[in-house]
Order: sequence, then structure tokens, then C-alpha cells
Amino acid sequence: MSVAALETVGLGKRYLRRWALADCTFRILRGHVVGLVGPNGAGKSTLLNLAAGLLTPTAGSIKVLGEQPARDAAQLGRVGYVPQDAALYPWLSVEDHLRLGAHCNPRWDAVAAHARLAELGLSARQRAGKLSGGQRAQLSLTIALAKRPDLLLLDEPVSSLDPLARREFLGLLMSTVAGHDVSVVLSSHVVSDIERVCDYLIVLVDSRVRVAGKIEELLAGHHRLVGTRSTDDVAPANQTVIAASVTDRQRLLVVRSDGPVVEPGWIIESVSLEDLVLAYMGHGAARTVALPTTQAAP
Amino acid sequence: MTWLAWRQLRTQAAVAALAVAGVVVALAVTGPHLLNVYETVVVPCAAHGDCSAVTAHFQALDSQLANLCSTLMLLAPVLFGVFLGAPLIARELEGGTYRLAWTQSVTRTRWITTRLTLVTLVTAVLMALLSTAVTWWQRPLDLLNGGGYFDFDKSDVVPVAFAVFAVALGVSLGAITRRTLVAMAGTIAGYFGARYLVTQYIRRNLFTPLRSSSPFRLQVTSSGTQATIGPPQPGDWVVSNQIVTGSGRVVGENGGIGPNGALGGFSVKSNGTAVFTGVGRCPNRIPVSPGPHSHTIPATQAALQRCIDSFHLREVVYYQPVSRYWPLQWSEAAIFVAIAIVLSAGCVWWVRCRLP
Repeated sequence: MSVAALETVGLGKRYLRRWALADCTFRILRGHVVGLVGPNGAGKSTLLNLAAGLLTPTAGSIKVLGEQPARDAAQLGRVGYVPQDAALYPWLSVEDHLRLGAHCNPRWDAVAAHARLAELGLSARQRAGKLSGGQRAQLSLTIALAKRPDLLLLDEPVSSLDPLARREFLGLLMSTVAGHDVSVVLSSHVVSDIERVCDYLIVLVDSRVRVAGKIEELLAGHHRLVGTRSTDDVAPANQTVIAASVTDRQRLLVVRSDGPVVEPGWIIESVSLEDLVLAYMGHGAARTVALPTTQAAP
Repeated sequence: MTWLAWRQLRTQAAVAALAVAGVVVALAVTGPHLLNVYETVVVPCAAHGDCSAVTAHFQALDSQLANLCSTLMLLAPVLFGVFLGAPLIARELEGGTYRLAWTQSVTRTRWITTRLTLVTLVTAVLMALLSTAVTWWQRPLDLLNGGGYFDFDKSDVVPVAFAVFAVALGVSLGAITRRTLVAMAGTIAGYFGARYLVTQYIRRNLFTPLRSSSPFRLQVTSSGTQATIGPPQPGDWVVSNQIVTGSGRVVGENGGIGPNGALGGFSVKSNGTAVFTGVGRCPNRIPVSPGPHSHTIPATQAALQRCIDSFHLREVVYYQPVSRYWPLQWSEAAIFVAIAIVLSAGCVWWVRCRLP
């Protein structure tokens, strides 16, 4: 059995009395690009910080690449972490940040790091405090990638970027990751970002994992049922209803099923990833078009 | 990791080094002249009797620099704590940069021990340099003030230990409060609090003070009358002095008779009596303020002294002899270094287990 990239059992983290993450159990094999999605405050950052070893669990356990996070220098070296808001030393230059990486990481790939900077057009002497949000995110990613990690954790890496920079960042991330044997966990509250790059999905809502699985399998296993008001009393058999909503004329359900869906009286449609995420986030079974935004309230 | 620790300390260290270098140069330029004047004018003069005018003139030489030295040695250690210690962890937590620092291939334990070691080392070296220069420079002035323990906590080893302690305190408070400004304020308060406690209660009792007892004698000077009470040697440090009666009753403290020490309880009246509160009174012919009759003082003083002798008063002095200067220096330094070590160990634990 291969070692999982990320494995949690009953993982929980409590701040004073509030559980930021509770009863979190999943196992993700290596090689996946995992999208961690959920409203703000759902526990995405907490989960990633636990994986990076910045936080220690209050309950349960977490294994990253088969080991306790931040257990020793070697384990730290195998995990690349791009924190939210790209934590950089404002008074250090871009060059200094690369030196920092070179001095603190035995597996440091200086050639690749410098090549990436050249590609991005970042001036080496520029202070990190004067960089734009996109440049900061890119520098942060460059440092994380130059560690040659086996697992890359990205905490809302594109949340502060404009759509173009967002597209560029994710594109560069994927082209870099593609050539290497590296697993990725990426958090975002924007489903379209996840859809572009991920093949595995974890939906976190109210500190709990609502659903986790390969995106392909999730899409195949979920359907939208459209019925008339008259079907009110007819419950679909052998299905788990994830979300339901009622409009003036019709009734919409998002259901989960293991086998083929055969429901007389219902129109069966496939779901988009966005529909699926919204359903699990508790926004009903409405069509995506009806929703102006995916940035759900916490 | 050492590279990063040094890179983050570099600017503050350079500023501190520049300031220390500036002071050292100023002292090196003026010091030889001061020493020369002391050896060629003050010492020969003192050998020939009263030379207060010469002394006053000498003390006025570079008095501003002397004041600066005094203030500097009082504040320098806590400045290291405030500017090098307090921000060390607090700033990482405030800026969120700990997330970058603690996710490189360096364990938190190594991160904090490296940073603590380096900042302590830089502080100790700079403070040792400063203390050596100041100690050398103010040596003639100290000697003029009786030498020994004068400027005890502004000379030699203890300032270095104070600075090391202040830095450890600053780092620890920064880690606990997570706010640079709060840690800075706490460092100032904690530093002076600890210094006060040690100075007032611990330093004098580190070694049991010696006791000396002698008959009470009155002394008349140009400024009036006073008790002759004092330690056996000029450089000794008087921890306490009392005037006791033959039956052991304490009637005076800190060189005077009366409840508040000084000469409050001892009043020489122009109407011809000297009152010793709680003891008795004597006829007195010493004028209240020395004037044209000063030539008669020795005779009248002898008469007054004979009356005082009938009270059988004794001066009891507890003191630290000047020979204990170095043991006391090292002991107090050891106390502050020990506190610094405990704080640093606590800091490592805190960073490992309690942060962020």
C-alpha cells in the first residue's frame, strides 16, 4: 500500500471553545491535485496549517506523506507551503528570499528558482513589500516549489489576485507541477479555480468535511432531479437527497446515488461541479445560473 | 538558518554597533586627558590636604560626557532588550512571516535557538565593549568618589549580564504577548523591576555583610556638624549604619541621631545647647554656621565630644568590604545570566508548543 499524501483520522482543532475543524477523516493518495473548497471560516486554513505543521491538532491525528507534520527538518523539506497573503519579509528583497530558501533547505533548486523569477520578470533587488499581490503570490510559490516538495499546500493562493493574474498563477502552477511527482492541496472559495486545476475535491462547511472524493466520480455519482410541484410527495428511491429547493413551478433536487438513476416522474440532469459544491454548502438545488455568486456567506 | 538569523538582525546590530563605536571613540579621545589631569593634578593635591576646588574643577571636566556615560549604562541594556529582543518573535507573529520561517527545512527548535544565540551573542559583545570603555574612562571619577562600589552597576561585568537578561526578557514577552509594542513596554517595566529588586534586596545580602563598631564621634566641617560614621575603608559599601546606646537601643540611623537619620534629630542651637533626640543634651559653643569664630572650633568640639562620650553611644556599621567587589560583580552577573537562561529555555518551549 502506498503512503498517502494526506491522511487524517478524527482530526479536530479547537480555539478556546470554538472548533475550527472537527471530526475530519479522509485519506488522499499521492499524485492528486486536491481542491479544498468551502465558505470563509469553514476551516480550510486550519486544515492546511495543521498539514504544514504550523498548528497541532486538538483531537485526532494527521499524517502528511506518512509522517507527523513538521516532525523534523526532513519532513519539513518534503512539504512546500504557500500561505494565505503570501507571508514574506517586506524589507527583504526578492533575491534575499531566494537566499533564505537556499540557506534553509538542503534540497533547494536554485537554478529553477532563478529561472522562474526571470520568467515572471521579477526584479531581484525589489523589496518584497513593494511587490504587487500577484508578484507576492508568485514569489511565495517559487520558494515553495524550489524546495522540490513532494506535497505542495496552497492556502487561498489566488484570493487577492485579479482574474488575469489568477489564471496566470494557476496556469504556471499546473505546468510546473505537471512535470514532477508532486501532490497538491489547494484551498479556494471559488469553485471555478478548483475546476480548472483539481482532480479531487473536499468540501468543508462549518468545520466539517461534507464530501470528499475524486471529482470525476463525484460528478458521475450526483444528479439533479427536476420535478413538478405535484411530485412533492414522491420521494426518490435509493437516493440520498443532498439539497432540495422549490420554486413556483417546479421542484429541484440534487441527489447522490451509487447506481444508475431511474426515477419516473423526474427529469434527470447531470450536475456541474459548482452545482455540486453549492448543494453541499447548503444553498439548495437551484441551477447555477440562478446564483449570482459562489462566494457564500460563512 | 544562521544566514537568515543574521540577515534579520543585521540592521539593528549595525545601528547598535555604530552607536557603541561612537561612544567608544568619544571616550578614547577624551579619556587620556582626563586620566592625565587626575594623575598629575588631583592625586598630588589630595596628598597635600584639602583640595575641593581642584576636585570640583576636575569633576567639571567632561561632566556632560560623564552624565552621558551614566545615563547610557543605565539605559543601554534595556535598549538591547527593547529593540533587539522584543521584536524577535512578536514581529514574525504580527507580520505572519512565521509561516514562511517555520515551513522551511528547519525545525522550530533550531530556528529559535539559532536566533536567540545570535542576538545574545551580538548583545553581549557590544555591551562588553561599551562597558569596558566606560569603566576605563570613568575610573578617575570613581576614585574621586571613593572608588569601590561607586558605579557598581555601571561598570565591568554586570552591565553585560543586564543586557543579556533584557534581551531574553524581550524575546519571551514578545512570544507570549505576540505584540511588539506590548512586549517593548513590558521589557522596560520588567527590566527595571528586576533590577530594583536585586539592587534593593539581593545584592547586599549575597554575602553576609561585615560588622564594625566604634565609639560615636562628632565631626565639624566647613558646612556644619555631622557624625563621623562610615565604613572602615573608604571604598567599602555601607549596607546599614546605626547609632546605638550602651544598652543596645538604636537611636539613629544612616549617620545621624533621630528617627529619620541624617542630622534631623541632632540640632545645634545658637543658644548654647546641642540636642540629641532620645538621648540627651549637651552644652555647645560651636556656632551654627562657621564664621569668624572658626578658630575656636577644635577646643569647643573637644568639649562637646566629652559630653557626648558620657552617653556611651556607638556607631555600628554593616558593610561589604571593597575586597568583595569582584565576587559581588560575578555573583550578580550570574543571577541575571541564570534568569536569562531560564527565560530562553521557556521561550524555546513556548515557540515549540504554544505558538502560533
